[in-house]
Amino acid sequence: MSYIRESVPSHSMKRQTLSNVLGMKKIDRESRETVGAITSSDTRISCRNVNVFYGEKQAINDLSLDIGNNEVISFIGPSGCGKSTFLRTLNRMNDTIPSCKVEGEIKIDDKDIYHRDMDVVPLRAQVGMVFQKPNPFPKSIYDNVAYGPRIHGLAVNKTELDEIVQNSLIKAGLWEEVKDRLDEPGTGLSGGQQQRLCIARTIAVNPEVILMDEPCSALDPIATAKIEQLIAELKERFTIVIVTHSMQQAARVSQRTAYFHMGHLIEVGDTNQIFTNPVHPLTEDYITGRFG
Amino acid sequence: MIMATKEHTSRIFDGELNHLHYLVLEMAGLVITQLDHSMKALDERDIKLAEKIILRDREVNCHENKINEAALTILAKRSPVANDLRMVMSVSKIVVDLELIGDEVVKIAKLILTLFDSKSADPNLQLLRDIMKMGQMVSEMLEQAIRSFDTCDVKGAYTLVNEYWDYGDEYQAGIRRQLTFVIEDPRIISRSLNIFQIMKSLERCGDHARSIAEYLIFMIEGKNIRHQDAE
Repeated sequence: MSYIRESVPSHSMKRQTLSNVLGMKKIDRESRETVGAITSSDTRISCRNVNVFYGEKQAINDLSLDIGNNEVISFIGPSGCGKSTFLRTLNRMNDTIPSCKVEGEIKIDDKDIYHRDMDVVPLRAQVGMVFQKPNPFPKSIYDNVAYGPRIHGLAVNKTELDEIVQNSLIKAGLWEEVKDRLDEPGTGLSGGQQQRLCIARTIAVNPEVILMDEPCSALDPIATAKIEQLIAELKERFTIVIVTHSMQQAARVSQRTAYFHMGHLIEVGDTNQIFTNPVHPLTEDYITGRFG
Repeated sequence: MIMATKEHTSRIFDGELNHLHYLVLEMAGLVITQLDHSMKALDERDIKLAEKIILRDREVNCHENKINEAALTILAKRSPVANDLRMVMSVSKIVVDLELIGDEVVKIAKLILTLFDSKSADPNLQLLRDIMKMGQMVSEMLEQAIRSFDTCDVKGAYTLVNEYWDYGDEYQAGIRRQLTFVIEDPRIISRSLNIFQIMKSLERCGDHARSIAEYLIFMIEGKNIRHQDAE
């Protein structure tokens, strides 16, 4: 009987046993096939067999994924795994890199965005982007938000433009803080306010999809919480794709989570499932902090 | 690059989880000892040992507090996910079962003091036979549960969950035998009630051992097999 009383193995032995068994999954660790449902019942963005190359180097390997309407999906993975590269293929931001080549099919609302007739200017209005570092233009708060509607001709007169600016700032949760100083420079705002200004600027052109590339990595916890709250509100109107290095943020804001590893989409699934019982051993290793 | 081993990048986190694991083993070891001692006290009519069991329950409670504190600290500091989260959650559930087993053992010890009260005659040996058998079985169940926890043996946990039903049958059979003794000799009715209570406590200990095995299955496989009828 006295297995317990006679020998209590050392701590390290114990954990090693625990790790080995807990890490044991039916899926082969070396497998690079995507685990989980890549399809969505209400698809807005459909990607099939996407390969992305930077010169000779392949950054994305045969990736297929659907992103649903009014869905928040997080892309997670270690640095260099291809999550930002994939994000940027969704509004053809990679076109600005001469060595970048994209293969496969990416459709937004059934339109192939890499079709030769596709104009990237309206595409980037339809698929807006928020970057890691807030990048307001060196103009007034008002002009920052009014810039997009002006160049896309979304307002016929000043009253309409005022309305767009006000609505965008309200949706971005910034209106109350800046309504009395719209003429002040956007660069004078705090980091969190600047990021919300960038979000207001993005939504001013009435996009359908918002891409966010680590939008909170330069912000303090309160500003981060405000952006996360904003994401929860924005998802009622937009499809949001967010790249984040914060596991907790992915767990908090998204309904689906996709894990990338060395250019492969390893696992995609319901966020609750990914963070409580991931299927692929690589996903589990990454989110529990066992590598990366 | 894929790491060959699956240790956390933060070794300190590994250490904290190891510590939690070790604390559970320590508490389980104490609870099993308490249970064994209760059977020994019954078998050898050892009142002093029964008294000692009652006093040592405080140690069991201390262990529970220590483990809860360690689990809380890990949750607060590390925000564990996936298998780490399941481990911390399962541990915090398992310690409740262990503590409740400790409480049942104390009840048994108090009943032993009543049974072997110097003013009364010794109970019939036949009456004790079923208790000893059940006590041994429950102790083995608990030990198997903890061994499975220690080595993350999900098969062992499943075996324990399935074996429970045999054990339940054994309990029912024991009750029937006790009733037969009472019908034969109604003078032993008050002692028999004590024996029934001890058997009931042992049955509850068995339930808790089974519960530990269920949490263990959740910890290892992420599968919740509890209260399946609720769905």
